[in-house]
Amino acid sequence: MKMKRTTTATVLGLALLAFALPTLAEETVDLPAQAEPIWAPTGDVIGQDNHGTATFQSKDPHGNEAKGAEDWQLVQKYSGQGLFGYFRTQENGSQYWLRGYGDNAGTGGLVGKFDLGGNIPGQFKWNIDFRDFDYFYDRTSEMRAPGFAAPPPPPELEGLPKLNWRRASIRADYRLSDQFSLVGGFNRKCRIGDKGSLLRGDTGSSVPGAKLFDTTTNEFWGGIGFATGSFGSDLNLSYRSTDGSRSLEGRHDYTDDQTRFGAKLGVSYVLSDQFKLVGHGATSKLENTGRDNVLGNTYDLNGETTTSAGQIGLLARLGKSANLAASANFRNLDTDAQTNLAADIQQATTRKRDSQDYRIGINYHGLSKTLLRLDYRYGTSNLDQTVAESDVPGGTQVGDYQVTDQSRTQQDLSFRARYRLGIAATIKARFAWRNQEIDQQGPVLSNPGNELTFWMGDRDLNRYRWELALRMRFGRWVRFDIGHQAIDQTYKRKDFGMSETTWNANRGFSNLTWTPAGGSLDLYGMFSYGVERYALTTDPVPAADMNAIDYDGSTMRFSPGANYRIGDNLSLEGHYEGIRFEDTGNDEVIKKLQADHDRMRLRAGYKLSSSAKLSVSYTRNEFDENRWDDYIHHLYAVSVSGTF
Amino acid sequence: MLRLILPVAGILLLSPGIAAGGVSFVDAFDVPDGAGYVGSETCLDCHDDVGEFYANSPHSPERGLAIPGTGIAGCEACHGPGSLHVEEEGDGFIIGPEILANQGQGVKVAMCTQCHTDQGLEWTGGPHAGTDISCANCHTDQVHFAGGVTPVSEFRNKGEFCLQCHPAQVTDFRLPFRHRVLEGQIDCQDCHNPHADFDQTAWNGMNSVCLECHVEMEGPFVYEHDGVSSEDCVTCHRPHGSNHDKLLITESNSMCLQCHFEQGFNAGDGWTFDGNRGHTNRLTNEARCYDCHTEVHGSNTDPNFKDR
Repeated sequence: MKMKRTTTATVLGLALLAFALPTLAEETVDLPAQAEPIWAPTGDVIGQDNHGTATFQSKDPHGNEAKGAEDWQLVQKYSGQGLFGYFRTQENGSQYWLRGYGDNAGTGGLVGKFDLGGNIPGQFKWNIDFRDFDYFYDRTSEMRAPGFAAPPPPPELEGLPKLNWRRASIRADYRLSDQFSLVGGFNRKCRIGDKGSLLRGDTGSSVPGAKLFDTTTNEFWGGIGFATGSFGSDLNLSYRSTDGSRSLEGRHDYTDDQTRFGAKLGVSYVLSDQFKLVGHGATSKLENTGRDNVLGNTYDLNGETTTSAGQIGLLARLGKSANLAASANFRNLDTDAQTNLAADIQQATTRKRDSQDYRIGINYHGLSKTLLRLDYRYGTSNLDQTVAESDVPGGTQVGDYQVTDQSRTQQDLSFRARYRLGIAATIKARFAWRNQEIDQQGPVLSNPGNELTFWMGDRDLNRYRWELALRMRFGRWVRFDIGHQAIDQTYKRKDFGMSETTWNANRGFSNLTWTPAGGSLDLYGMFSYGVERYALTTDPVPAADMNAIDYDGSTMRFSPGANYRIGDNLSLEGHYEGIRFEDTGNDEVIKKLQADHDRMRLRAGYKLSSSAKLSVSYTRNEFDENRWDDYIHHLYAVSVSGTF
Repeated sequence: MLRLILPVAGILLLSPGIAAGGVSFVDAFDVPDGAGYVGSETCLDCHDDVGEFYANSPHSPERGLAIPGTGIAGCEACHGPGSLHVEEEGDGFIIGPEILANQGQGVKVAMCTQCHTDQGLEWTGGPHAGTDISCANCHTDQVHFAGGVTPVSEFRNKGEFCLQCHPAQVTDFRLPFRHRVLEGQIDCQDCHNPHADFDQTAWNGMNSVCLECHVEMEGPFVYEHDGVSSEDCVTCHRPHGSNHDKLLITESNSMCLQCHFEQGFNAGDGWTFDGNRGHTNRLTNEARCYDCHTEVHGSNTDPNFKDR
């Protein structure tokens, strides 16, 4: 029996917004429609003047604390936020700046970021970027079971999972002369804490797992650039190491010890005013000498991947109206990896993957009001892999082994067009097609009864993707975009009765911005509606009580807003955002999942002086789901901003 | 390694042989005979407002930075030789803003990459290449009289700058599961290079971007999930935002079954989803695929990506 087949999306209500538009059209700057950055903290003052903002926020929470923390990183009832920027220019033209912000709304400790930098224009610039943020996770890992809406709620983790990400980077660029330049830097990333896992055990009704992290990654890198006349080149080297430990609670402990060295050379040469050659070559070596402890056994790991890659490309200007870019890319990956228990090799792999990739792209703007672009990519890759037991492949102690010989061919075709219908309207279209064919020999087994790796067999993928958008500008004030996006994918497994799955997604969207210049009222809004569906299309049908086979999700979003200015000193802002997500799945065996996000912010600002502003705001965030994670946050905030 | 060496060596060998053929951006225009370079000081006699605009920038004529290897500096690096323009005392005989504005992207980019050669290297297959976007559309702080978007310095986060032109991504970043770009914790530039495509020479192609932070998925593993090593991470994840936990593209099992759907392999078991195991009972018991297959990105101990 055929399962449900693709249906096209219903795009609703999009044209309604258009009726309010004035018809007067005149030339205008071609900006996209956009909403105000309402997500910025209350009373932000930003720009290149020295500035600062201090905010106090009170939270009145209801419902599920963990889900609210996951969505908004808000835990504390009372919290503060700060934002600042300081800029200085010396008499000799040197510049320095320090920008940043922070808050203590999560665990109560200060988190945030800063950006410190400086330069001697044209000669030297440097920058330090630091970020320290906590991420919270829901305590439950829920399943779309047939009776999920009924109590009791699922088991949940104790405590609130929290993972801290701390990142720092330093970068400096120095221009030695007209022709030579140096660049270098250091990156560091640390992860400490635990995060919710999707893991819940074999039965699916256990307490969800948690993943624990305590890892640090350091990377040093540097490069030199050389340019003269038509020739440019740069050479970059990097070294990265990762150490630490991870754990999948109670089941699997990892000790990380990974290093990677990389080198890359790039060159470009301007052949004439019409032709330019570019080329890249890169090599890297990745080593993993960590340790896995699984169910009481400790395994020593020894893995190494060596990569070499190259790219050569040609840029050509074909007359006044066309550009062409063509490139050839090559990559070779060699991997040797083995797992040891004490001194004994448990399993080992040799893997070689060679790939080639050829691309050509042409854009043409010789037709009046029209821009066209066509891209084509053809790629092939081959995988030769041997997995062996007891010894490395080819070794004298090898037990059973399995050989994989896989070849892939992939084609991508993309066409983009833009046509200006008039002064006020432009239509844009894009179509893309991907075809992927994978041929897999075998399986070649030394012992037919002992399959060492999963064998997928031959399969094909076809994916169509298209986008259509109409962009309209009415006067200097009104911007309106409307469009449709879609994906249609079919995946076939040739070796299993030609099984076939489909995945389809459709989305309609519109954006409206009305910003009368010099007026007291700005209006803006956005509406989108999307549908995506996954289905099996071949026999047999799944068992009657099979869960979560079909997926049929829809997402609707509506987001209007307004800014109103009263005189020179008072401003009022209002913004609403509603999102409804539904997964109807297979209604016969799985109840509909429905989740609503309702977000609203009202903000009033009063200019105390030419350099100071007082703002108050009320924010309401609600998550309403027909399961267990409902919550409402009422947030009250007051802030003072100033420039100096 | 040979595939690496050959193209690079080929380029290096080729370059000296054609070195004499290189010409500058200005040669794309019909520069009149007799036009010569007069120096920025002469330009500023009339265009003092431009000098003021650039006062603290690398483009300030006072800094005298020249196109590498040419000695051509200041205003005339972008506007061409100005002697006839000066003599005429009008708007002609110069590559002025209106002429530049009417050029295609290739010419506009070539103007900047005369000096910014590293960006010229990268631009080839970049996301903005082949569109009508060129350097000045974003770098409004650096190029005088450039319009387009609000400068990046006006935003709290760099990400907000990019989202001026990418409103669809704004909606993605408001979904329940998301990379926190709007919150300022990650910038678009952490993953995307606006000047270049994903690095085709990176060790793991496009996936290398993700693996810079999620290093534990990098391996190398004894058992690789083909969907990780030969596909892109975005095959299963929506990195900007998703309605589903872990940024998955669809609801849990539906995603895995897009590929792992093999009803005919083990007919005796009725309906199965795995090559050598009957899974019907498991999937009716509220379980998700990764409840058991926890090491879905790769494993050193189990070929089926389980903990054992």
